[in-house]
Amino acid sequence: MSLYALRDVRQVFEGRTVLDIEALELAAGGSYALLGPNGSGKTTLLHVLAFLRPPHHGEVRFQGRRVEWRDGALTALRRKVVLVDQHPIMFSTTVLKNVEYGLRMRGVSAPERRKTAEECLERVGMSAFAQRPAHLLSGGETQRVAIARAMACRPEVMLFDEPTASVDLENQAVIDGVIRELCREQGISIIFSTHKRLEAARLAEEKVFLFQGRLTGPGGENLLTCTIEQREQGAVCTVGNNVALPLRTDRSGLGRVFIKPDLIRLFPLDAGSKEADDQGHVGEVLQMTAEGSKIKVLVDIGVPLRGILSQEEARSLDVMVGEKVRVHIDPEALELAG
Amino acid sequence: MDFLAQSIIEALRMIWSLDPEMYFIVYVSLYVSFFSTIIASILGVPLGFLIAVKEFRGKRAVITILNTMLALPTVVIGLFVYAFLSRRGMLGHLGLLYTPKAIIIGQVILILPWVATFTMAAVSRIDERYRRTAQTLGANALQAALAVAREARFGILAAIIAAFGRVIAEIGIAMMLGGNIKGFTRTMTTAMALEHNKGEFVLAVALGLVLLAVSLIMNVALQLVQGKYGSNR
Amino acid sequence: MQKLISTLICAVLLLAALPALAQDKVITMSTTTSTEASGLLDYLLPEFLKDTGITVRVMSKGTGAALRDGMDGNADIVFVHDKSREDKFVAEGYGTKRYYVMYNDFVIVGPESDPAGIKDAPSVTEAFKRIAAAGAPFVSRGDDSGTHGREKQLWEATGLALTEAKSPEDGGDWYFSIGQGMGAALVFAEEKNGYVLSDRGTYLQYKYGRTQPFDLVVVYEGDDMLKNPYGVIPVNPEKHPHVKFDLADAFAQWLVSERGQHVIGSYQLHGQPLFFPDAK
Repeated sequence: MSLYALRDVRQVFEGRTVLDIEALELAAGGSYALLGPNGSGKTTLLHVLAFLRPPHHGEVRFQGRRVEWRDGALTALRRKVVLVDQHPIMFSTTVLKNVEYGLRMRGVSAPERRKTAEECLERVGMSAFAQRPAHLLSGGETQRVAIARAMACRPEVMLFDEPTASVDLENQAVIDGVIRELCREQGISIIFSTHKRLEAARLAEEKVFLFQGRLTGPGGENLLTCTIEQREQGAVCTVGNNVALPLRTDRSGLGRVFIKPDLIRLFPLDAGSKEADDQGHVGEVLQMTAEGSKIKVLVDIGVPLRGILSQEEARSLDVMVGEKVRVHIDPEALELAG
Repeated sequence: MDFLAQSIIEALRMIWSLDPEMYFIVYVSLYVSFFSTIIASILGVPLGFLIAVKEFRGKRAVITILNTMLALPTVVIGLFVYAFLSRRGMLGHLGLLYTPKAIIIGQVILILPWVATFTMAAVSRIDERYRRTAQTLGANALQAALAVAREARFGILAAIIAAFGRVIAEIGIAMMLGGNIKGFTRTMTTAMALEHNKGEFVLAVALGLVLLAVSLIMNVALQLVQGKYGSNR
Repeated sequence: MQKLISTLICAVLLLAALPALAQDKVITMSTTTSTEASGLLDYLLPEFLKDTGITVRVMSKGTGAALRDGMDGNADIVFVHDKSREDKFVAEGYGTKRYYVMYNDFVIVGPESDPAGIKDAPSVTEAFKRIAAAGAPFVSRGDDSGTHGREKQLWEATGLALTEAKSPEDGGDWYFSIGQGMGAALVFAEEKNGYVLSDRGTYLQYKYGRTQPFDLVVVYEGDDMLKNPYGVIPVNPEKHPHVKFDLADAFAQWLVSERGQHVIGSYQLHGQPLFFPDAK
């Protein structure tokens, strides 16, 4: 069953498009990781999914029904979805009162409120802190209390913005455990943003990639926004942070370009290959995963790119994750989209 | 010096002996100031809150008007309200002039801008994320607004205490609209002005001491509130 | 540097002293509001300056405060109208001598409709009794001024057990003790459409001397008990050596001289004589 369906959703802040999603479907009961560098629109997307900020343009469907961005309707929707911020805000009262807050808003009776809140604090291991002033907790403790506070609302969907970005290892382990449990044992849909691929792999069944506000997600990871210029030696398209790639086209201006993963070729840094010398970029290998009989490589040359290697190619390349490689992108690999 | 010391000793004796006339004056002052502060708060706190959180046309103009009204001298307010409440004025038929109600009306006009602007400042300091947090936890618009107000509570309380301190110490409005009627609208400040005029000092000094004590209590309360407020941020 | 500073200080002191230098014969007089508000002093003091070269600086307040100024040595001479307190002032040694100067009279001002019916009262005490009986609003200065003192005497003469405690709060919602000046009391009485005991001068100023109309009229006048004698008392230099007794006494002597008495008698306000020479 579809949980969220987004169509042509755009978010514009001060004239700048920070989110531009043509289509995105998320299923109920799933666990999703939103991946992407800082400023790629993860938080903006989470605010849309939490019904906290209406998109500038486009349609959002939730549980098959079109979302109407009116105050009254939104309150009902928000009571099914809770967002836990990266730096959660604690109301200046006790931890227990903070955890009870959502239930109080829903008109739950005081004894029941207290019981649920105590259970939720127990689950995140913060029972001992119940009577402490919540606004004086450390970062990790705050995060755990915020999760308990969100859980207490008994939501259908829980959204997390970088849940472990600002906590130490010990707290991170606790938070990971709680999130996994929420999803697997209680069937709550989980969507969280992170910049840690490992965390995404551990906790999420599916990954959604965001780059500069656009989806570059499964299958379309190498879809990039670019600027095309006509120069003496031919067209050049610039992507990301000043990465120039040759391209065969007579267009110029803004566009989107798709880089075919199988035409990206990688060489060791010291190979001194003549092919690599003229059109080479240097990139860092971020990740290597097996995809059937092929090896998928995530390499960062200023923009993250996916390359597909055969097992043989991978073996001859002989690099580890974290090492530098020379990256050759054939002009044939680039294809203008839209 | 001897003269001042003697006046103070007499004044302390008067305070100690629970002089009914003196205490009635203190009662009138507290009563009038209390109600004008309550009414100004009921009107001013939501007003300041709305200005802080809502975007609307003419918002800047409203803020400018409130800031201008902060500097309004009490006698100007007294004069305008007098013109309305006087027998010849628009509201003359209500017979409000020279009653405690008239003082309260004037004093509400005096401190409403104070309460509103200080509430506005206190609420503006509260991060927008407090409202979002309340909303995502299921608060409706009103509940979320209350959550923000709750976070701003120390700032708002400080505004209310400051407003009370202002009305209890003002004289222009109490004299012009209350008329300094003995046993009815005579407040601490108007009584002190009268006693000075009569060349009598004991009652004036006694009232001055009480006023000083009230101001001290208000300021200590304000310090406590602000101290607490400060440690939260 | 030090020299510069001391020069500057000298210059500032000199500037501050300039007005005093320009008019070295100056006395300070504390008086009641009625003498100044009636315009008498504006008429009389220039004549005195012409005759003697002495300038009189005037501070006007209630009789109580004016006498207080004399007792504290804040004035060289007092010019007030409350004979019993003036006598006490002299008896206690604060003043050298009380000179009879002049008298004016009090009037009962009230609404033209005269709800208490005091117009034809045989005496002022009877008028007061009728006001109390009718419960018509009555405004008292309540500020220990000479006028207030006279009002209290008149209430005592009625034999009514009237105390100041009568107020809107405890049932007697017709007697308002407002603790303010004569002008404020007249305005207050007009607001309440009530009666007030006023000196004639201030009443005339309010009735004819201002742009807005004044609704109240004189409803009772003429009783001997409404006579209001003014006295002038130089402050005793034995109590306060710094007072300018010679100049102050010169002013007192001038007031009771034939010339001074004539000036007082010739003063008119809105076509009516206000003060009657009374020197003995």
